[in-house]
Amino acid sequence: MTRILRTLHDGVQHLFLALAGLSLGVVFAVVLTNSISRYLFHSSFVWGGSVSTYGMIYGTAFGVLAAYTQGLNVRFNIVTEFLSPRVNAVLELVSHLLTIAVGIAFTISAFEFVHSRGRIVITGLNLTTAYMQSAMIVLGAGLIVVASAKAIICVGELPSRLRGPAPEAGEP
Amino acid sequence: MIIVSFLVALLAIGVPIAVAILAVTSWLIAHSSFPFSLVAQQTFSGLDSFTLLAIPLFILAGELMNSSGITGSIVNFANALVGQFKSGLAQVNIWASFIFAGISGSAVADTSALGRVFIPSMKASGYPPDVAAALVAAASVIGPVVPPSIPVIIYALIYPVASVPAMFLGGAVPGLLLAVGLSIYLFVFAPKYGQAREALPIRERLKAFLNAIIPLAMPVFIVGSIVLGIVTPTEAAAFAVFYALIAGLFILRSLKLVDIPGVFIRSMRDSAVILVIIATVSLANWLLTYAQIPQNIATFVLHETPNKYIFLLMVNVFLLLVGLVLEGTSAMLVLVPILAPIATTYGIDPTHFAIVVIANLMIGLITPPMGLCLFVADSIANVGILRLTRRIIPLFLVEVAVLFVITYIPALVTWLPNQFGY
Repeated sequence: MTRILRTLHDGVQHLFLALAGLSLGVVFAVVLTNSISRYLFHSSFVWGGSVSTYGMIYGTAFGVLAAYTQGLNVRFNIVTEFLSPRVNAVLELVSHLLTIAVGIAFTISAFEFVHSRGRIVITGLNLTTAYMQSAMIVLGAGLIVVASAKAIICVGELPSRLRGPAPEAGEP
Repeated sequence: MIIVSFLVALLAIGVPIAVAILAVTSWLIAHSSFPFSLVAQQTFSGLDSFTLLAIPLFILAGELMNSSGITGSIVNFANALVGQFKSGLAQVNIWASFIFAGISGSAVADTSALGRVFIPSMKASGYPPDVAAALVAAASVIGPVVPPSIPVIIYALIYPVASVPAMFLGGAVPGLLLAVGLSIYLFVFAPKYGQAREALPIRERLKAFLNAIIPLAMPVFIVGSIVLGIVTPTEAAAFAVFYALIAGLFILRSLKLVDIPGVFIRSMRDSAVILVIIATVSLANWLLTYAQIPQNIATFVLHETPNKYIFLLMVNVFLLLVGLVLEGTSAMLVLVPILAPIATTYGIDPTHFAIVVIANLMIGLITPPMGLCLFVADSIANVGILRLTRRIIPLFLVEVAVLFVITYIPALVTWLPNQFGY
């Protein structure tokens, strides 16, 4: 069970990493093309600013989720450094459960946001802002998925982590 | 008070900063008369800015330059300049950091890139490994002060009264003073490490300069184009990426096409970790402003503090203490909206105050227990945080001395921007 989940977790991680990299590629290409066009031809794409900004917002959502799967989000270890591995194992689980709760609340909020403010048409693009604001739904729902996977893996490993490391040869 | 305690408790148990802020703000909004959609709306608004695009693009430019292996040419150039002085390799480390600062704009990136070069080579030359690691970490503080600087862009987003070109120019002299301060300390107080060597002949120096011309030209190109008003910071960042790609692929020929996707992925992931904190803090700031908390603090401080010099002293001491427990960018996001308007009320130049705050919080990167640069240096040198902390104390004091010099002589920050009309 844990092994299947780990494989899925790794797959999701690679997907989010690829999407994050792709988003930055789009941002770079659009900003550069628009800038060159502005200086050489004195005109730029009206949609350039919106597409690049929204590309970054989606990139941020994917990047944060990828970082979560890799345990790279910024956190303080000022207290946890001094705690035993057993206490840290429990706190890690608590942290993932709290992230699931935050993910659920954020997804609900994002749905309400898109529903109430998503009908404005973006200048130069024949699209409503709902498509862009949906990045917040992606972020919330993604947090639920990655934190759930982490929590299940954590629960699976909890008994062995609570028992602590096996004694080395020669130790009683 | 209960809310603050709850936030501190979440942070203390290791919940990611962005998740902890979202948890607290969601709870507050759910128990208020505001629509719950405000949580996502304000988070989205915190990211919906064209200027913010400069952050991932500058990080990408730095990553591409790193992947092109420019670190070696910078080290050779610094060695040609100062390698003959007492503790030559340590001096090279400081000046390589100063030059590297013009490319990466991030202290952690500087520690990682230069630490991998200097810590092993200084060890091999007879330097104790904790001395080498402490020096790499301390010198990396120069990075976010010297332009182009990612904290400067974040500061301008939080407090738009301070302009990016003015702050870029304003950071140049303080960055130089940090490097000079560390260099003088080594020259006067540090024991003599390593073998002394003769100064390189002019021809060798010229060769080292020519080999380093590509990385050396990059900060001139970025800062120059922004200051002259030719491009916006975001456009300059995109051109910097383009420059780094051309240099790596066709001039240096050390960057392979297959490496590029990985560089883009790492850059966006690392940027996202900063950007999500910016977004969630903008939500928290909206709530703080609505509750008039910054205004109340400002009124209190203005009433209790007799003049701007005492205010600057209090800010510096407070931020140095904050730097012990909060990561620099996060601290800036939380505190600048409160402190910067008070400074303006006192008549302190916004550019001057910005550089003082940035330099102060970046010094926090080398103070335990939250000193990210310390951790990165220790991960390379493997000497233990305690030994490293002992070695970094004199270097930390040198940097604090420079901080107080730029705090009480504002012209050191404002002179250069003034020359360009800012």
